[in-house]
Amino acid sequence: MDWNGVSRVIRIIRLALILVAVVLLQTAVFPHARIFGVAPEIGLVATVAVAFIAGPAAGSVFGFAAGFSLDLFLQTPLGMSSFVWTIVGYAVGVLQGAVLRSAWWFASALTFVAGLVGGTLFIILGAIVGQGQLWGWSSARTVLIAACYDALIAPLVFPVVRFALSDERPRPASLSSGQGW
Amino acid sequence: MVAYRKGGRRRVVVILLLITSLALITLDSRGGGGGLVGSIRSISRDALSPAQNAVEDITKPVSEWWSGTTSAGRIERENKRLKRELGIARGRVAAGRTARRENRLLRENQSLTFAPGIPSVAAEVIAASPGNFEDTIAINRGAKDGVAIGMPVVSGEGVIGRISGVASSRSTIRLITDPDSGIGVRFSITNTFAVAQGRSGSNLMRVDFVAPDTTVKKGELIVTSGLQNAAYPSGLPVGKVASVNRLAVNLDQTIYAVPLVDMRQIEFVRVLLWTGTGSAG
Repeated sequence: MDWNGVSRVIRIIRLALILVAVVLLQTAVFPHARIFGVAPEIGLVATVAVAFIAGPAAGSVFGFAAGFSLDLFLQTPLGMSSFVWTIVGYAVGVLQGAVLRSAWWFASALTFVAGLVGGTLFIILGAIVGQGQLWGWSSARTVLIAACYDALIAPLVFPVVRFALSDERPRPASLSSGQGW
Repeated sequence: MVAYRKGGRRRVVVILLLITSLALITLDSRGGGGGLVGSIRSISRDALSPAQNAVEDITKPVSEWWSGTTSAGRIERENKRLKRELGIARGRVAAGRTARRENRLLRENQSLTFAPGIPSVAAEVIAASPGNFEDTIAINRGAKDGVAIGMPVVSGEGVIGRISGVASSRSTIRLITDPDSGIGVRFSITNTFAVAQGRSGSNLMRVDFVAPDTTVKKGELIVTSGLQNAAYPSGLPVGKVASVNRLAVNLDQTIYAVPLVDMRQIEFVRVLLWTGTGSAG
């Protein structure tokens, strides 16, 4: 395996570790760290970070994996979070291509919008697949608070994901980190 | 050309992932929580359970601090209310002793003990819901302790919910306050049947399908109906009527009930090893 391959495998392993950490934090820590009864969706935040840093392909695959992992611990049908987060990962990845430079607050702003869109899609999909109890103003309130909370933790999550996706090959300073894994 | 091909491949990957998600949703919905999807859930929960417990133990002091910080206002209000109630309660202690004695004698006479004759398993609450759109808790008892999906779960005060997911040493309880939870109930005074439904983001349950000519009073106890095919045994305490609003234009009533159990404070529960034949409450 050449250096490119090794570097790619290292990045995938790091992302897998992030995935495990995300599931543990979401199931064991954040249920006790709620604001107004709402926990953040760290899996969605990590998906946004991966998509923003590595592009739509990596974003959608990570979104699917993170959503699927979390779905295993929820009562809503398996596949709902993975469906929504795949879309969010792809959309953020596509948007990332249009952003040339970003300010320090951009991660939070992007995560907030992604949280709103993701939460709304989740409710709509839930209503379609028979989870009608999700449809209501209280769910809208939950989505709004969760999006704010996601935006709050985004500056902590983005650097971790950026490190996981960093390419350690020696290379000219003029090259950017590039797309994909 | 290369960029176009790459973009096309990305789109194919995304479409495949979305189709897989939809297939999973369909499989899970059709399987009713069992089957292949249920097994995958059960295995993954078992596999991650030790790590979850370890992380929870490590972060417990921080979690408790956070909980105290974010709940300071509520705790202060609750403290004032409790002090007020303590004064009233002290005055009622004497009368209460007599009532308790009478109550015990009546129960012994009529064998009206709480969940009589139903074997149960004691369990400790080990986790809260990881999601924002459901009211669930996890306990440290599972299939190897005889726990199965659908079994009712109670605490000292009354019903708290039903088992909705089982791993070998861990189970998930869907609380009666969950919006997807409906429970067949009976008003203790009028003996009228109704259905209590959880509400999203609220500790109150909405009581529906109450006969229009029924007069329901605030504070009236509601218990499980125990009708044929019910998911709960008959007579388990569920909650108290919190408000009754009767519309002037017709005979419809909007009734809300508050559960007897404070769902935020549950530490220990009992799983009744009882499987009803139906899926409706």
